[in-house]
Amino acid sequence: MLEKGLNAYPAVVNWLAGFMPDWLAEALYRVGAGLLILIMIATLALVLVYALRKIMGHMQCRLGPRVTGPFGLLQTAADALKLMQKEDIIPANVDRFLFIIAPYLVFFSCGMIFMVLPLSPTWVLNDLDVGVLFFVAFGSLASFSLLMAGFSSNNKYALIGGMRSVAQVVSYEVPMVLSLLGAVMLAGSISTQQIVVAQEGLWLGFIPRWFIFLQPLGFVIYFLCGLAETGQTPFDLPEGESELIAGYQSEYSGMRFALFYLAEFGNAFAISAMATTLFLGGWHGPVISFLPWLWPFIWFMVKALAVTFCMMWVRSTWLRFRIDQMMDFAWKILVPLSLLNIFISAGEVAIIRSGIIARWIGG
Amino acid sequence: MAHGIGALKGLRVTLGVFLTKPITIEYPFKKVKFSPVYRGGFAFHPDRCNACKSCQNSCPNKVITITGERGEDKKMRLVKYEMNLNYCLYCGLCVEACNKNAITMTDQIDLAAYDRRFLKMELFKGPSIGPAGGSDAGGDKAAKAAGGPAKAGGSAAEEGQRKVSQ
Amino acid sequence: MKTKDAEKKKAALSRRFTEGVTFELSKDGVLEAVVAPPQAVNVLQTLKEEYDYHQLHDLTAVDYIKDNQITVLYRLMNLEKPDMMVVKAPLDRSQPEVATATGVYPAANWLEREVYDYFGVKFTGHPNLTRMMMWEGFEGHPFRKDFTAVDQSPPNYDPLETSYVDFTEGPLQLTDVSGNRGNGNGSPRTFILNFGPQHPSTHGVFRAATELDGETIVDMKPILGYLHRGLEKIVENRTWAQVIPYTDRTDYLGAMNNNHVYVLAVEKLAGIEVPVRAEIIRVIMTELNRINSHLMMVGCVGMDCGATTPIMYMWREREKINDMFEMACGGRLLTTYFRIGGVARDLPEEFVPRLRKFLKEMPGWIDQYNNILSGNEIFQKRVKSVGHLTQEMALKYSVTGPMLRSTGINYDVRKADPYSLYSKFDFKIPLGKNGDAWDFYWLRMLEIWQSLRIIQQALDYLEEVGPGPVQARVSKVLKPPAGEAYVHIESPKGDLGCYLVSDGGTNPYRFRWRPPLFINLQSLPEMVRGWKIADFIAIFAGYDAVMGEVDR
Repeated sequence: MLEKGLNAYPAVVNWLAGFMPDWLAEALYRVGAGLLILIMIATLALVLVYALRKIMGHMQCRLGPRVTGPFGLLQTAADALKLMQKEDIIPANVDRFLFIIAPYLVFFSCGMIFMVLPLSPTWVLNDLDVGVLFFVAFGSLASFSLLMAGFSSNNKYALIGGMRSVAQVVSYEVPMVLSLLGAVMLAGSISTQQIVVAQEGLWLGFIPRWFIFLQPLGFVIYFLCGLAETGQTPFDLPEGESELIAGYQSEYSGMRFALFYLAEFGNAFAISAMATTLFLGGWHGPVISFLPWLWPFIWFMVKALAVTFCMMWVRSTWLRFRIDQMMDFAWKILVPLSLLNIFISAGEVAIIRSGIIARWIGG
Repeated sequence: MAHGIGALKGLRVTLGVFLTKPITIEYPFKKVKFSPVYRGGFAFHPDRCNACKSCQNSCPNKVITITGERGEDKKMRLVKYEMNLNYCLYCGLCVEACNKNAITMTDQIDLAAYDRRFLKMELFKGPSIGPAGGSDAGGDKAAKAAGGPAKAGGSAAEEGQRKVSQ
Repeated sequence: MKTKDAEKKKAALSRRFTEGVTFELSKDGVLEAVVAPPQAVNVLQTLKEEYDYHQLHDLTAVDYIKDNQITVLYRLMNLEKPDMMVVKAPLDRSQPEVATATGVYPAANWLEREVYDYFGVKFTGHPNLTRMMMWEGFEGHPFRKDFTAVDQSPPNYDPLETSYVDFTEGPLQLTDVSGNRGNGNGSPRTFILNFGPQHPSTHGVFRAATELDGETIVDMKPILGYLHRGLEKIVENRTWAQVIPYTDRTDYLGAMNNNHVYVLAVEKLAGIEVPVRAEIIRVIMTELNRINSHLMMVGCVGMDCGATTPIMYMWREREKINDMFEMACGGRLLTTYFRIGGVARDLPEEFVPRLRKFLKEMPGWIDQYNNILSGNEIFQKRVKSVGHLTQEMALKYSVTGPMLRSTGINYDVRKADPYSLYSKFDFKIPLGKNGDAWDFYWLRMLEIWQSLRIIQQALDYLEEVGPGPVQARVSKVLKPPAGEAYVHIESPKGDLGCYLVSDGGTNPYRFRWRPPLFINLQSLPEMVRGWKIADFIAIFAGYDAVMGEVDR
């Protein structure tokens, strides 16, 4: 197994420290990484919003954006520009501090997840030993800020939206972590990069050794919990527009609203990217000699975007749960299933360790 | 809840639609052809009108005001034809009432204007013109009308835009 | 046969009530009782309990200024027979007062408030006799014939104040929520949430002031009148033919049905025979419109539950129907197609092939809807056994239409009191069992199938009849003889009635629209009490509310 070579953090910092003081190198790296994440989320959101509108449009026998730019490609850019120009309204009776800080916190927690995403063998901003845990922690931090947004808006719709969002994220955190455990157990590590590395190779010469083939149930549970975590249909209760207008973002406008929007799509991508990392073999894929360092990244993006497409597909097909049904689904169906999944993965780990499979199929 | 087959069927439906051609018409660039009886903006043909006021009487909302005068040959002649499209329901009762086909409906749908004032318009004004279409018609509206039918809705929108741009 | 029964009943009733009540039979065999006002409630009570008139079909009033009378008119219905009866209570115009019928028929609540609003009739003992459509403080009662319109604008309320003003009936006190519902430590347990007037799923400007305990609805008050246009008053100043475009604009999703009930009523009043071809065209159009309206409702249930896609598929088919409407009459939504004595123009040549093609394709599309929406387990979970409309409740609040049938009561005007050509066609009335949101939804789906069947038969009949006139000879200035006529039809929303009074002039003397939705909506608070917010949305979607008709 590769050890520390997979982490960009020491490599870059060491390189920077060659011609500047250590503290400056450290600081520069962090600022640079933050900017990188910001740019990445912004670009991804631009692409994903466009993709969502196009995909949803075509699924509804519509066309989606067509006019702004070729094939309407500039539509989201135009929307972003519009949101930036809008007046920044802070309603009179809001809790100002929380109201202002909430969208930034949502965006922040979304951005932090990007830090541990292994985009390619060498491109991971910081390969923490507890990468998966880090991802889970910042995923649930988002609900905290959504409650802040809902509470501080001094709007009953927003408050109900915030409450729903917390109830939802807290409940779905449980089966999500339990379903992650399967992959973690198989890889024997909670570092995201190590989990990807553990999925290297092929079975029988053609089946990639991705954990989804060992953990189909875990993947499905993770996917559903991911939908809940990001508030996508069928778990879009916090902002269910037919009930709560826009939920916790009812009172937001302009750039603050855009931040929620960015974070929503950033989160959707982060969840897909994590699914790719944990179950779909991350950046593994055939590498062609042309630009060999770029291919893993491309494979990673292709897989992650495919998962995101599935999210959008589900979003344009299914409908919303009721709050109690949503809770029932988490606690009565997903939690027992994910516990079962842990037993299955334990069995799989035992079998793999014993080497029976290896003897049979030469893996 | 039990199985979830139905939810998966739904996914198949949306994917199927995703892969087929959308049915939307890109409206401002392509336009659908309306049926010949479509009830859009009005077109007035002053040369056919004999100021009988059928349309004025049939209108539920008193949109139409006709001023006619009796000429030397004791025939009614149209002097002024006004429509206040603010109140128009586009029900087509006036068109039905007209025996001479002097007022008809077109397939114009861009009937919005920037100001209510622009929806109140004179489709025809001037001293009487004969059935052949006299050249002594006064006013720019009438000059337009002599060449072809005056279109109520379209001119409203155009006029509105012109006034706003000034 | 029907008249014979009525004669018998008349004789029996005349024996039962000796004082202050006179009975007579109207031209079309409807039993009418003229009651002295003090006795009105007693008579209603007896009629309900002993003669099975268990539904208050309509309650309205007419101002006969020449006789110095305001006649309050109760229209009772026995849904099982079905059998209609009218009770009239002529009141003194200077001081109109009658005891409330809410004790006998709870559905009278809003209807009496409406009559109070329009005519100033005081219903003594009414739980909350306030204005229904106009604002409090409006001067005069607009439907009185001596009312002169002056420019009145609603008073300026403090916006924070208005949201807490208590101006509807029921136990919900908007001014005082904490009251005795506190959780012990003095803090309020419930809070008020205003759904609407502008809310994505109230389908128009409907306001529901809702008292919530967490997500559970403790109580609700529907507040109406935001889209009130005084339609019934406007048409009193229009000629009989000019009314048709206005009827389009009540329930704007079922314009053909609205046209139909109005022209049928005028034809009944004036005794006009309609050519059979025109009548077939009317049936085709009304059924197409029913499909159109039901598709909208079915899609809206999906959308209110969070599925954005199915409604788009339903709009695709609605577009096809709208295209066909446009072909025939030039309008897509507000069709104004029917005329007194026929229809505006004959169907164009390409209409019938196009309709046949539509009929052929439609089952496939319905399958698609079922695959994407009806079959979805989440959807079923969201609507199945959500809300519970019992038969008693349905009768209590005079609920009609698919909602009534969802409780298992077989009452469809097309079968019960066949109008137009419906007795000629073979179709079934789908019935529900549970009266839940799923039944509301599913019955509409099934009715689409039945409408397709009717259209198929009507098309065959149309070809059998062949070309012919589509418009009877009606004089240009129509003056129906003095009298009154009531016609009710099955509109997509329910039992739609049109009551016309003529004084022999060119205008309707009184035009009463029996709006099924307005009457159905009274049952909303009882339906949603104890359910969650999301259930309220699903149940309310089942009403298929179109505010244009509720507020008129």
